[in-house]
Amino acid sequence: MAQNRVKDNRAWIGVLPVLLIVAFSGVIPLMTVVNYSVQDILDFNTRFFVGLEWYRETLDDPRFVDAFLRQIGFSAAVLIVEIPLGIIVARGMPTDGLRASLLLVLLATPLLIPWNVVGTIWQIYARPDIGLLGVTLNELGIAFNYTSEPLHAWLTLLAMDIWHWTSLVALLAFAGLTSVPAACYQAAELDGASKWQVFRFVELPRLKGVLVIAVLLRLMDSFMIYTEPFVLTGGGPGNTTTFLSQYLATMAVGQFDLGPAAAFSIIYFLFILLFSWLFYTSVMRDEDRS
Amino acid sequence: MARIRLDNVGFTYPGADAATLAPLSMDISHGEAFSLLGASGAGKTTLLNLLSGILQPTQGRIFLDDVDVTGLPGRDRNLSQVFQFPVLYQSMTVRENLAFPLTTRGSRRNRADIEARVNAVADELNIGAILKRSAKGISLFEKQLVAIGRALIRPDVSMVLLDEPLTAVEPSVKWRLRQTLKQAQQDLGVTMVYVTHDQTEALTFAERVAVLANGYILQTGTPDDVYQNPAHEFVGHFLGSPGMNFLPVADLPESLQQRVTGMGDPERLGFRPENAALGLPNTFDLPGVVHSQRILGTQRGEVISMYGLQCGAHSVFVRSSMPLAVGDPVTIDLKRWIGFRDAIRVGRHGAE
Repeated sequence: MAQNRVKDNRAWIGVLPVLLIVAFSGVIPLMTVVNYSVQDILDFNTRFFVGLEWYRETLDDPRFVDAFLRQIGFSAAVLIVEIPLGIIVARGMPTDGLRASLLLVLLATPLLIPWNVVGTIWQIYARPDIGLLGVTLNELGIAFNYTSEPLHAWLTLLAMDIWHWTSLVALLAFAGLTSVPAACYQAAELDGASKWQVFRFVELPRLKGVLVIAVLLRLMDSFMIYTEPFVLTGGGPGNTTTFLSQYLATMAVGQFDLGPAAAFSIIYFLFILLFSWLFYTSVMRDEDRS
Repeated sequence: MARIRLDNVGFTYPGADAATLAPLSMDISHGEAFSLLGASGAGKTTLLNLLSGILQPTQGRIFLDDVDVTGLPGRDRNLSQVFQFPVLYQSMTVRENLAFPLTTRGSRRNRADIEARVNAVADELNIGAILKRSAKGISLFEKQLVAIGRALIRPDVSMVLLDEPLTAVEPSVKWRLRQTLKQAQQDLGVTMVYVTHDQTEALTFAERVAVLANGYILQTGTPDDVYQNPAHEFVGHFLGSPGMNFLPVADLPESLQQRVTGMGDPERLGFRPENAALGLPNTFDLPGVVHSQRILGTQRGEVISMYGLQCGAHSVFVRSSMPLAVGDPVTIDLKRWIGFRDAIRVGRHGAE
């Protein structure tokens, strides 16, 4: 058979557009950053090769480490709240009819709002002088001020992210729940399963796929969050809500430290990749075993 | 296991004009293999859902062992169900699946009892070898066996409902599953209600069959009884392959009409293809012409065929070993027939 096959390498030409697109959208920009990250750039014509110096410096930078820890704390808090909350919302949804459609539209609304608008909404909403939330809290005797209290700033940021993104988890979980056959619930009912057992053994195994997607999306998105905290707190008070992306932007665009910023970006990128990979493989290895 | 008694149970969907299930009474005894047979939309699933508590009857009462369970949810009726496709807890092993109904609230037992029961049921169904496997990793056939096992696991289960349990299984292993099911029913003595549209399944599985059509039970009886003595034209037509032949009495020859009218004055005669004999022209009363032939097989060296015959305006099927070709004129002798009036049986001839 193999001898009869005509050898025709022209087929590779068909792959060329894809290679070009991938090169221009991914490989070349990334390699440019890699290139920057190993040089000290003084101006357009003066640059020196510095090896891994910027990487070492970034990892030793206490401000980077702080931002990194804050970032992990923020992503963890977001996942811990949004995933269970999303599932609870999805389980409470009616499965069909007009009410379901209306609720779906309502749920999707926060997802349709531009991110900087979300930041602005919450920035005004939480203001202690004129914002509905801020004023209400202060009226209740809580001295709420997110521009001066780090804890308040964090809580406001978390509330904003939960308000913005829980819908996504809920919609994904809702889609997963609709795929559970009625007979499975019926069997569990006849077996005398408790509500928790129905969730644990009937729904959760079938939700696994969409929940993996939900966790990955929320992990990556929250780890890269920039616009909303930038608008809401600007990283403050002090640096208490300065996350990685914001520190990076200050470094690259504000101070024009291209070399260190490039090294920062690569490390940042590798961390997201690492986290996503660790999560995905740990979940999927579990899948293979069973 | 329990005796199941339905007292005038009917169901109408809210806002519907006609009842999905007309009021019916039924009595299924301890350890009986009972079958509900009917085409899609006949009301089988509604009746099943009434038994399992998914639906509550709009009239009448349901008793399990003389305890009124009407209005009770399924979990409080101590029954189990096998569905069209295997319903398993996919994150559990086969063993955990089988044991699950014994570990839930209200039926919790100690570890040794559970172990013993799981092993007993696994032995009965011959699935001991896959107990440690994940419920996801076994074949469809094995999955359905495990689902059946889970339905049988409670020793005191009041009844096992089977909703077309062979649907999803490959044809080649259908008979094996049916055999296993039948055997388990006999060994464990559980009351089983088997819902199907497949007459072979119903007639081979059950001790008694109820034939449903359009929300009515047309006949309840032993498989032999419903096959040989259909109480309603639909039963005769629905059972058998091909089903019963029907001829209007008015279109029969004079001589035959006279013999028939004394027996309940039927409008139509029904006879099964195997309950008639063929002869040369002028041998019997009813003439016909062969219009089709399908060879069924051989019996004692003779070729058995299913002949399609044209009798005036009507077409009937007769099974015969007589060698005939399409176009041959014959006469038909009705050895055994049922007379129907308004589709209801009014008389019969030839039965013992």
